[in-house]
Amino acid sequence: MTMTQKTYSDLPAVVRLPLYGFAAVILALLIVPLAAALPIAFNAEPWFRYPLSGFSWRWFEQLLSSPLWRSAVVNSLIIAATTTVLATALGTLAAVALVNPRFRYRNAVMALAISPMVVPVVVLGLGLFICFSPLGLNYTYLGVVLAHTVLATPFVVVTVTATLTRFDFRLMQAAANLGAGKVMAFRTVMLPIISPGVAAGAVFAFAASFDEVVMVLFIAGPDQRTLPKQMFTGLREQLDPTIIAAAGLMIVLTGLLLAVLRFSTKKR
Amino acid sequence: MLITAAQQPPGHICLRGVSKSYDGETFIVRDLDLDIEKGEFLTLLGPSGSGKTTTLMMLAGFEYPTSGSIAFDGQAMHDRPPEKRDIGMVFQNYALFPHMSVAENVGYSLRVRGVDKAERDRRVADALRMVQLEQFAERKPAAMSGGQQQRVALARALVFEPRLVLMDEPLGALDKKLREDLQLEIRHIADKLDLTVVYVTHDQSEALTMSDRIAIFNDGKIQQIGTARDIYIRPANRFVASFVGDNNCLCAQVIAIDGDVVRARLPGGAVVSARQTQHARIGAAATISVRPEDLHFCGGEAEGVVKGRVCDVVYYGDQLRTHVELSDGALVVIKSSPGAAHAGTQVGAPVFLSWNAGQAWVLDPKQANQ
Repeated sequence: MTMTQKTYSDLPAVVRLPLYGFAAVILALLIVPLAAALPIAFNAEPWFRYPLSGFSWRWFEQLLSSPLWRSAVVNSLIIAATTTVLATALGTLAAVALVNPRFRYRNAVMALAISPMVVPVVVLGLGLFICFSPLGLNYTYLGVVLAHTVLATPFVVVTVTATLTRFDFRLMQAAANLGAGKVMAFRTVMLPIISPGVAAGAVFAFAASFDEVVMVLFIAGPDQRTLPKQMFTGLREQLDPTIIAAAGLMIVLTGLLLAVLRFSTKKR
Repeated sequence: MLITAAQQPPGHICLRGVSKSYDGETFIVRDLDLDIEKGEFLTLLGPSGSGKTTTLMMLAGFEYPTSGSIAFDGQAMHDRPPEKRDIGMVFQNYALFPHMSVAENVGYSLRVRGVDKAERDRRVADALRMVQLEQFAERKPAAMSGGQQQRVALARALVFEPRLVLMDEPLGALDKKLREDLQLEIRHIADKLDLTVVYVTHDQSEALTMSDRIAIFNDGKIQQIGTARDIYIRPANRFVASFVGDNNCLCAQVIAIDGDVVRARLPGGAVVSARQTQHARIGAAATISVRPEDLHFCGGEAEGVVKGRVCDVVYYGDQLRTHVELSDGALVVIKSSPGAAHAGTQVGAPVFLSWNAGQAWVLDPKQANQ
């Protein structure tokens, strides 16, 4: 006897068509806002209005030539890159501890480690602002990086933990048996095997920092003005399509990172 | 005379009073004493949960004894981490590193020990030649068959010349034919390199064919330790008798001890003979154990003959197994050659069985929970 897998085309039309419709609505919700906003970055006139009055790269030129926008791009890249390194290292190490069944308080620590994902960012931002004041960390790069690391680490913890649940821990026993100490075994056996999960966590951490604005509003000074902060200011002060061009740049950068990640994990 | 570890020849491994418990109440291994000689192939055999794997894990250093000591050449070993023990191990399902090639897997122990590249390559090539895999050096483990992966695991465990090699049911995942080939191959390599091997299995035929000595585990204790022949022919107790090979275990009452021969009465009334062991006490219950191949059919009732009724005859090609129900309800199995005189016995027919007193043993009586 052979069993054939049922596919959607086997379903009756009464079930199938509403399902397709539902999927279409969800996809539209994701795509339409982008499709509506992004073309304005190429508008020849400084208006948020259709039809576009002509095609031009002027807002991208503005983005890269205006000192305000350019320093925002550079700040965002520096802060996001540093945050990624810190969050990836901390999150990966935390995940290794959190999957160890001998770690007695793992559930409590796990809840704490991912709490920045559920606690409102405004509350975290205010709390950090209060804590950073006596330490002199407000209005510094280090302060912004630490704040973003708090937000980004849970993404790494979650993705690496998910990867580690499929990791065969007897490989670590095998490494120890062959003479490798804990650090050596982690570096040569565990890390290469879980690296797709670590890389995915790193991309999420980068994205979390790169488009973060609430923490920046609390912690950053004028020298740490990031791209989202500049966009926020632009919305209120001098509304022009540079904001959309900046958003386009952010989407392209994050998209590129995701593409690199996919490519590098497929190659294995 | 008390022999201290320092007087033993080099390579001696000594376990004294080793116990392991996770909760302080139930012991997985209890008060274990075991000596392993240099160059010996020792198999730990027992049902699952008998403590054999835990003992292996304590030797490897993945578990620490709750009490007792493990010493190599008189040097305490039980509290050292696994990476400082210099013990090779072949894991169940191999535990090969999936991201490394076969050569990288085998060379891993040399790499972490800082052996230089030329020396490493030479020793890896030697190890792969030994397991006949030299042409697979650049493959990833996932692209190899189970038997080949097993050989890689073996080469990886041997390449750094460990002082002890542990094997945890290494052939469990392979089919019967391949398993038998690899049993011989492992045994040959162990002999050639004069390895000290501790091998864990629950497969008794594997234990009987490979080992110099076998330790039978049950309930966290070694029930008997000795050569395959010792254990098969002279089981020390009822558990060993029924675990190793097929054995007929009959409940009986000891009525007389006459030098080397014990007379005992079966519940059905027949008086039978068996060899004396430490278990026989006049008037006490005991077990009479007889191998199926040592039971014979005989003509009629006489001294030492047991009556029964055939309830099944099973043909195995090279042998015939006749299942007989004795008059007291006990079931026994007789192994005989298919050409024997009684081969035509019908199910339901009455038969008479006997055995030589020298081939039956008096063992400990059946426990309530057995």
